[in-house]
Amino acid sequence: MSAKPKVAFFEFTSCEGCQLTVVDSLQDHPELLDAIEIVNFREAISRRDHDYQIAFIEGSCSRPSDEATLKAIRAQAGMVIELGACAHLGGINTIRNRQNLDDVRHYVYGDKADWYETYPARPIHAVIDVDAAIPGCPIDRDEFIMAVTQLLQGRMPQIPDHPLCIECKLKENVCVYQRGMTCLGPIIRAGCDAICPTYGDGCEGCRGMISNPNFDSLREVLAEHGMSEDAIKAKLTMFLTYQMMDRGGIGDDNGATNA
Amino acid sequence: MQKIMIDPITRLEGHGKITLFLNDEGDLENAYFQIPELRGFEVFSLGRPAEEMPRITQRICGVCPEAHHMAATKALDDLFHVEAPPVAHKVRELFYMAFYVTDHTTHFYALGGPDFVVGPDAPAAERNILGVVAAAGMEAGLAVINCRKRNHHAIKMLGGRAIHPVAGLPGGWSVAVTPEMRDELVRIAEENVEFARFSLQLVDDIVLKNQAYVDLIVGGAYTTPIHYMGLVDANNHVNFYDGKVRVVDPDGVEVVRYAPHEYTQHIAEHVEPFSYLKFPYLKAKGWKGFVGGKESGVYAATPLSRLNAADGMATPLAQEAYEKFYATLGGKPVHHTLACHWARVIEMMYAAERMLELARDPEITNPNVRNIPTETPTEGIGIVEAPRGTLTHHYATDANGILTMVNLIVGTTNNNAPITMSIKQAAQALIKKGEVITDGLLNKIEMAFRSYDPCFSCATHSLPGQMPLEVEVLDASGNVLKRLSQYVD
Amino acid sequence: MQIEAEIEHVPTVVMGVHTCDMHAIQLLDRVHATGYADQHYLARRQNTVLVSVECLRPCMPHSFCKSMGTLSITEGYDIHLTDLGTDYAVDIDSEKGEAIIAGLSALWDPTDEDYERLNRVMAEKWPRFAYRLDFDVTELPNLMGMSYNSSYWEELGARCLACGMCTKVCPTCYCFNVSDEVDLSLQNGKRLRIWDSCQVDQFAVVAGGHNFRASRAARQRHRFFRKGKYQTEAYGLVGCVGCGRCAAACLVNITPVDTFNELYRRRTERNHAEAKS
Repeated sequence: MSAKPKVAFFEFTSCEGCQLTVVDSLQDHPELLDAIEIVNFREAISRRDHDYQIAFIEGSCSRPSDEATLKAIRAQAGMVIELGACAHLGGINTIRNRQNLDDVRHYVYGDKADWYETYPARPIHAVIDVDAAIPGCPIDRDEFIMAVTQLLQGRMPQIPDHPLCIECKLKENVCVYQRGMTCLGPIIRAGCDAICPTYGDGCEGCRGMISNPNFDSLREVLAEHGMSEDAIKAKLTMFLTYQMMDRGGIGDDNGATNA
Repeated sequence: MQKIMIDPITRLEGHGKITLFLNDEGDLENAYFQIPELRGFEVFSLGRPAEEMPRITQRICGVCPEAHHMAATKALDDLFHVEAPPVAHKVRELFYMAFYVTDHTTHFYALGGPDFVVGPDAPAAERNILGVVAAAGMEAGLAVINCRKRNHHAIKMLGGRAIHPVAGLPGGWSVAVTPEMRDELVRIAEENVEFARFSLQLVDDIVLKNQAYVDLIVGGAYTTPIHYMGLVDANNHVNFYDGKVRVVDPDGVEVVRYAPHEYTQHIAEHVEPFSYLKFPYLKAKGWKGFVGGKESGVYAATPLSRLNAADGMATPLAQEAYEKFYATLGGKPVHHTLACHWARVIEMMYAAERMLELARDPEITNPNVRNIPTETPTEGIGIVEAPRGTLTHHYATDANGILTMVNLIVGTTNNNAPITMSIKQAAQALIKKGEVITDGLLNKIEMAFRSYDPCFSCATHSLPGQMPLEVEVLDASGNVLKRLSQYVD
Repeated sequence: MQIEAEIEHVPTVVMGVHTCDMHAIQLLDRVHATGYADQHYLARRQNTVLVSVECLRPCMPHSFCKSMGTLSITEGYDIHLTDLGTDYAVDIDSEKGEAIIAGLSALWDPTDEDYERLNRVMAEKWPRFAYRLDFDVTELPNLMGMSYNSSYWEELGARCLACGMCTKVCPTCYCFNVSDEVDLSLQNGKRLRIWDSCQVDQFAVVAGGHNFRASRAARQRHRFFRKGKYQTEAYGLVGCVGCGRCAAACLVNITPVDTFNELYRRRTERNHAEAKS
């Protein structure tokens, strides 16, 4: 890693909240601009350089024509990092993958549907190889700074791979299940400071699953706590539709796929 | 009419496309600006539990998620037929005002405002926050960062997270204000009021003390007399969180004043053969085409509209600024769209004062912030003022609270017709008899719609003031005469 | 390069420690003073006053302190309180405790009658608690040793979410990780000790990438072995104090009582089968 690497930010289908979080991280860490050289960041600066070593990508790929752009980024950057749930998981953008895409297009565009190219939304690593991901919806600004610091040290970003339950317990939260609600925490990556359980309801999974989750066991736990099949499917598909469909579907019988 | 291929602007993908149609004489016939929504929030939400909507819909936008969170939360109150306790409304509004201060600050200093502060004829390279700093001093730059920082802290305390908060519930809010939180919030609100004062002074120094500039605002090519919409309280003062929707005509006369429930009786949507976009209009006046004036149902919902639609501001310093605004610009209503940026600063002052009022309210630390719903859900409508304009969330569910219908009228949608009109107006002067004058065309078009403060102007507008944009000009047979672009990969 | 240890120890009084937790603290004291002494723990411990209470009724359905021998405590506290109804019996076992009560006018030297009251209260408490293990706790390490290859671990592993809650609420758990945090200048940083859990997937990964306990079954087995055997054998004190917190927290109802009893049942069955053949 060069002393002051050139960094570029790109966005695809997204709400741009993750990039805005990067800008906001300057509030507490203005020294970020001394540590890296930002050469391309459409939301924030006018400079548009195509010589960069690290590329952060926000957003999912939801149009075939975006694939060429992604491949160009991959060819240029030594390191490609997914920024946020849309890039990392597919995220909210993939909820529509559950429905027949033609129906969705016609619902939104009427008889103009054919003018707008689209296909099932997908995370960036479904199109190009990526080196790392910073999860969350949006990303956590401190985690972003930590990840950049680790990249500068020549390390990969150290994103927790343990469940949210550990974080909740360390915060001395009363478990959401003991408050009569349900939570995906046991199979979701920690690292967000357990915001949702702390502020009212169970985890909705925006940081993605840990490696090797005991998914079937959690489904049983959700059912034992009174959730109907539909409610369980809804909970599992807020951020994780793409992952659920990859696992072999979630019981939707309209033939929807991730392809 | 010619068939056209339109490549969408998507604030999602970050670039925009406008298509200009010429008639047989080679003059500008029509202009269309496309804002597709490729993610399909209204359709993918169907079949999901309604309570998720505050968290799902806010992902429409990373800059103003609080607006959707709040509209959705209010729609859920209505859907579940539950009334939140009074302190819950106060906490929600307090949270919302912190958001308004930070959002208006960002927009005024870094996104749309630079057009106004630096001047519309300045080169693009200066129409950005750095230009504002050059004009207003380094203090301004630091003040903007600090404003976001302290208000993000407030939003995080009250809602869990600055971008994509989590506290909205049917029947209330999940966070109660402790005395310690309250003390911090008072301090933050006081700083906000000071910063709003600073910002109004900036407007004064840079704009109002320069008569040529005032003339430019009042005269000039950015004026379209149309109807204006905004939420007002019982006294017809601007309110962002709750109230009735009021619409006034180009002369400032009230046309309608309706409760959220009644919106379908007053607003309808026009469809054009060229576009999938819908163009809302006032039923009372009817659709008369892309024209302004008293007889046309075209209306706008922007900070300027809100000020025009109301009789005043509910807090003293904002009211003072409001009166000065109209005195300077020749009375109510003001039609000049560039004035929208100034209106935003007045609203920033109101949000700051209102936040302070609420933080000082002795009731605010009451821990009873939730009433649990007990009724069966049916249908619900929630309306708030998003910074960009009136935002409506409308849901229907089955008896289990599973969504069967979702209709979202975002701030931008209200302005589809006026935006189209503005672009046309801006481009008209530069296209004659098939000759397209390219210099300044992109500039003028960009500024025309950005002054309507549409949502995508935030997302597609890069902070330095250079919007990725593509413009195509088609002749009467649909052949592309000219294609111009800026900042498109 | 300069490295300075930051040893934080704010003077602290912990009020109302149950006897099970007192046993846990005793174990932790021994662990952190044995071999490589943990200066952080010891500094904090020295600056802490423990006021324990005699448990007179079961505190929650999941606890099994009587079976684990932790329902009473004879030493290690600074002050121990027993509720006699109208008064507390105050027991002192340290100089810190002596210093606190010195000169307190609310205290008096116990009379014979007071001792009788205390004895009665203590006698009355025991029947209120049930034995929940089907065997004596002294047999536990042996039982564990004979259950290493039990298929029961796979059954637990199938249910277990590896969420780590059990280890986070356990009073005798102390596994930690060490993390170096550096700031953006790469010139300054901190070395932090952070909580870890043997239940999480990555816990037993070593340099080179091998994971010594990749399955949840192996990790659950490891936990029960630590609590039922390893800690006891290493430190002479029971590793699991029967507090019941892990049982209360577990979303899939894996409990020490069920686990130990089931292992005992299977071993007994095996013994009977072997005896017959």
